[in-house]
Amino acid sequence: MDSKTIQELVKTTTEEIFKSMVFMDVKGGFHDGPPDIAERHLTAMVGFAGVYIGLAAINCTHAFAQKVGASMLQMKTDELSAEDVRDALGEIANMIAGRFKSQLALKLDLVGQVFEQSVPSVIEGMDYETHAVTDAPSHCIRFEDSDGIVFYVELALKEV
Amino acid sequence: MAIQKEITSEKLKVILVESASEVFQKMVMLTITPVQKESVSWDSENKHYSAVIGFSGGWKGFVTVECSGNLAQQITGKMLYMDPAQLAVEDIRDAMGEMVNMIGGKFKSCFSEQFNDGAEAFRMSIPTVTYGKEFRIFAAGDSAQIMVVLDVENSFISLDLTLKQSGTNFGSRAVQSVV
Repeated sequence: MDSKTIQELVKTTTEEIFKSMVFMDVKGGFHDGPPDIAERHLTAMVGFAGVYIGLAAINCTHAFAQKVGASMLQMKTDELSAEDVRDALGEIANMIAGRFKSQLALKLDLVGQVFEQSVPSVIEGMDYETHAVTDAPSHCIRFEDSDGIVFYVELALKEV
Repeated sequence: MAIQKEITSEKLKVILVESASEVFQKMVMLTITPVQKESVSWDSENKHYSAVIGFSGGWKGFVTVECSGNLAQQITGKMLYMDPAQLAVEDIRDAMGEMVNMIGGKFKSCFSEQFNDGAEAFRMSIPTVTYGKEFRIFAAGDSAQIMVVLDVENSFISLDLTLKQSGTNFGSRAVQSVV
């Protein structure tokens, strides 16, 4: 599958998940390079393995993760615990990977599981960078919500 | 179901330590020793490395190997037979990714052998390596977690395992009574 098709799938999958689960309109476009966030941020990752192997990750500021958690859980941001925020972002990564999986299966006309997902891991901190150690092609999509807040979704994928 | 009852955190700890021990011995000829320590506080002034590999299938989760930048450099130097001072960050990232991949692989085969009648209990995804200061890695949702601190040449390595049986929803604490 070519890069453009994968990037388009990541873009539409993320937009759909945010619309249906977070009740937010977000718009994405291809980003050349790693995510670029200077302030305190979080990265939620889900690994997967099967016919395809790889991982999906969402990278955003702490403030945006709080906004996502509050919208998903229908709570105020100041009512959320740090764990609520991490769990919400982990669940978003999980849903993006799950939705991507079903769309990929449709595109490739595959029957059965394309891959199965791991438990999401969430990194939180001020000054860190994360890299997938793989020769699998990696794709990064930059998104903006209606307030102009930026976040990134990355996907590395290769056929086994 | 009877097989599941035999899984205890102590047994998992033993498998985890044995897996790491074998990898360290074979790959870098270093001996690791578990220590009685609840956690490791990484120096906020210096960077440290966390390598993660995910598990998916009948069981799902991930294993994390964390250590200081200095120890990661020493380990990589031994793996690549190079002077640690000559290593690039990319070399260290790749070596740490390979390290967690091998520990995860060894853990998978031991776990499958002991708790899944030798059939593959899960598959492994690709490793990721995080490098920086003032960051922590968490498991999202409720999963059983085990942490072991190891001494390697007077430095610490933190080895974390997150594991749950597939089919249990996030929020379920059922697996915690198993592990």
